Amino acid sequence: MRMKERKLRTVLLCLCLTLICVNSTAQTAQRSLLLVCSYNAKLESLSHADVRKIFLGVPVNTGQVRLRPILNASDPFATDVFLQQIIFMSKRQYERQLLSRVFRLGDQRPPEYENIDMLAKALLDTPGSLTYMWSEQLEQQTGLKSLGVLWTDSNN
Amino acid sequence: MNRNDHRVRLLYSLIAISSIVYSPICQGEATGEYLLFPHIGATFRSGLADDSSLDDDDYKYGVDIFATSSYRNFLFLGELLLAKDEQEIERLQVGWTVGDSKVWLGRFHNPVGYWNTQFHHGSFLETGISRPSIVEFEDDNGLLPIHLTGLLIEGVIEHDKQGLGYALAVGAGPELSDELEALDVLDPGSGSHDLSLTLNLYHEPVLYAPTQYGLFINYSEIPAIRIGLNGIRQISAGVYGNWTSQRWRLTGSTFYLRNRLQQLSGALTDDFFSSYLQADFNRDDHWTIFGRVEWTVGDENDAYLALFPQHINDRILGGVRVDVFDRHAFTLEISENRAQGDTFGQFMLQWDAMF
Repeated sequence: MRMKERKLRTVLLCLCLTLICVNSTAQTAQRSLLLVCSYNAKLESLSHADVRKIFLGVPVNTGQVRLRPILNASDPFATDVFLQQIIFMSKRQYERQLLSRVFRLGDQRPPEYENIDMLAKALLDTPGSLTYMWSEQLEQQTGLKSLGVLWTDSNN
Repeated sequence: MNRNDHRVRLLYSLIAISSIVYSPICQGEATGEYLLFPHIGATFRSGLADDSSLDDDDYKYGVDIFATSSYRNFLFLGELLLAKDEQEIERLQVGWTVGDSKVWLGRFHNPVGYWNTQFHHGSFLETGISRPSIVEFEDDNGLLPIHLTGLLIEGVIEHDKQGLGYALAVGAGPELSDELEALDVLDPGSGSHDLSLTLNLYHEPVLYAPTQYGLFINYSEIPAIRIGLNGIRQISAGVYGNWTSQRWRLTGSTFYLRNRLQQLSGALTDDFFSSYLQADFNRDDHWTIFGRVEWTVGDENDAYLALFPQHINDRILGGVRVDVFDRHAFTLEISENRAQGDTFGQFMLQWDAMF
């Protein structure tokens, strides 16, 4: 009897642990960093190489519209991930590189928004504008769309 | 130059820069940047020769005003230096973006080597206080045409995630009197200026990343009638590199300079090599330690160098920079310097900022 109880307890414990793992995996799988623009933008997708060029201030056009980067400072982790995975620079290196391009070539630095709602408004108001945000941030906004996944948190 | 001339120049300079920021086309679709780089610095020297023309101490202050705006494919760029000893429009350019290339007309920084087109007059962007003497500005005992007025074409060709960069400059170079004098855009008729040509090619192992290696060549005809020469034909050529990692930055260059001084009695040709190597170590986001060596080979009795007695031929320096309060920096730099017939120590302190 005791053996049976022990086995039952062990099975139940394993089931619980499996459920917890599955649940947390399901949650983290949704945590993706997305490239986002206005829903009305005539853009389908961009390569990571193009995204890097745009956010380094290099002029990239689609048709007559210049693509304009906007930095999402609402979540420092998102910015860190974006800079490391897409731009291949630290924040300090990125800032210096942008400043160097402004000073040498007359380019402009991307505007930066800490407030996600103001960021969304800027995306809607500025033709050709792009940013990055977490998938759950995008779900809370209207009028925006994802152009693709930039990075997925697969480690958790 | 009298005080009224200074005021008029200052007024014209401010109008020129303001017109970039506030011009009618800068409204609406246009975007722009407006940056201020103020600085205050002190220099103390020891061991100067009795007949040295340098002072034991020197103080400087000023602000570099930078403005740029773009409207569709058009670009406007201006840089104005208002300092204790000079008020000058350093750059004034109008440009067009064509694909990954830019075509500029106006006064610009000569793409001779690396340093000159990376840092311009914004000392906040440089880790240290002093520039390598081979790329020193014309009015600071510089030997090269640092500013040109004419046409500049520059860009990067993308190939397999790497970059091949180029810059081609054709313009009016400096005149030599007691120092090199670039063409003054506020008084273009003054002085005598002749042809200067530069080609700079470089490779970026990772496209648009800071690491790059390149080579360059410049040919300049420098009028020098004011010092009794018919002119100087100068060729400068060299190689350079800038390598960065998370913590380290190494920047170096070697220049070969060949000058043909044309006199009434004939011509005299001299040449020499000048190199520098700088290492920066970022301990963290605030503290940076740096050092630089500069050396010249073949400078003994060089006829062209003899025209620049304050030019520093050899130098070894070290320093520390502290970045604080979001874009303020305090820098300390100590160096041992050898100029023509003068060897001295130098201690520099500077505050820089960017707004």
